[in-house]
Amino acid sequence: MAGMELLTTKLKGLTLRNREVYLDNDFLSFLFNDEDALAAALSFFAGSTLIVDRITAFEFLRDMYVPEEMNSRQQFLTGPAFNTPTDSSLHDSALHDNALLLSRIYAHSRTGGGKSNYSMADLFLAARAMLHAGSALTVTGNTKDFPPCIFDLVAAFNWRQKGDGTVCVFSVLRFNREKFETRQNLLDQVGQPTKD
Amino acid sequence: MAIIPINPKPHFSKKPAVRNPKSFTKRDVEALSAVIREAKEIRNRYAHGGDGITDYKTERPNPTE
Repeated sequence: MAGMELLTTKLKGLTLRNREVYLDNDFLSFLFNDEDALAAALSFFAGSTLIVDRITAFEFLRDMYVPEEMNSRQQFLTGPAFNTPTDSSLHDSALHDNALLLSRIYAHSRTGGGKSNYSMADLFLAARAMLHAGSALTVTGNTKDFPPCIFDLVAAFNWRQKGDGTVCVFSVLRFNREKFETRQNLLDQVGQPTKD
Repeated sequence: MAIIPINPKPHFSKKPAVRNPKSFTKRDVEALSAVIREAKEIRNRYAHGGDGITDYKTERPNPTE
């Protein structure tokens, strides 16, 4: 890994072992483009289960129509490093419910200048992090897709690229159930008569 | 068609999403690296300028034909 620069940090006391780590498409695509970064990421997340959700797999495979490119992406996804959830059909309606709830909380929590339009893929990935809140972590390059009103930043994976020295910054986020419940309570008060 | 409830309840699960997680060896990682290198070659072969991933120089139908 000569010439590579990796800087990682994580919250004191946070263990990455025995975690279910969901990869956002930007992180997955980044790993697909750099074999050294892949090796570094596999080492950083050693002992955890790296998961590519179905909706992320869809994003990773969409728009590709050259067969060789499709095949190499498929090979990468189904390789030994990544897992797909085995409980999908069981939890489909739970994910729908969580995604809808989160979309409302995001909209309600938005203050001036905040992001207003979350993609369906990001909502469903957040819904997945919520469903498995006890063990799930999410790795993304776009923290604004997982807003701080619900998600905590618990670790970072920064990678300086060989060519132009660009630093790619990825965040490891954790769903915060306490924050969620606070926001949900505030949301439930919308339209209710105010107490004097 | 299933109806999405207007006021859904939050769902939390203690069960893992993956029942039998895969494990991998150093050799597996090398195999994945080979896939990455091959994908780069494919992109170089097909792409021209731009983002290099989604913009292919061949295989597009010509609407004037």
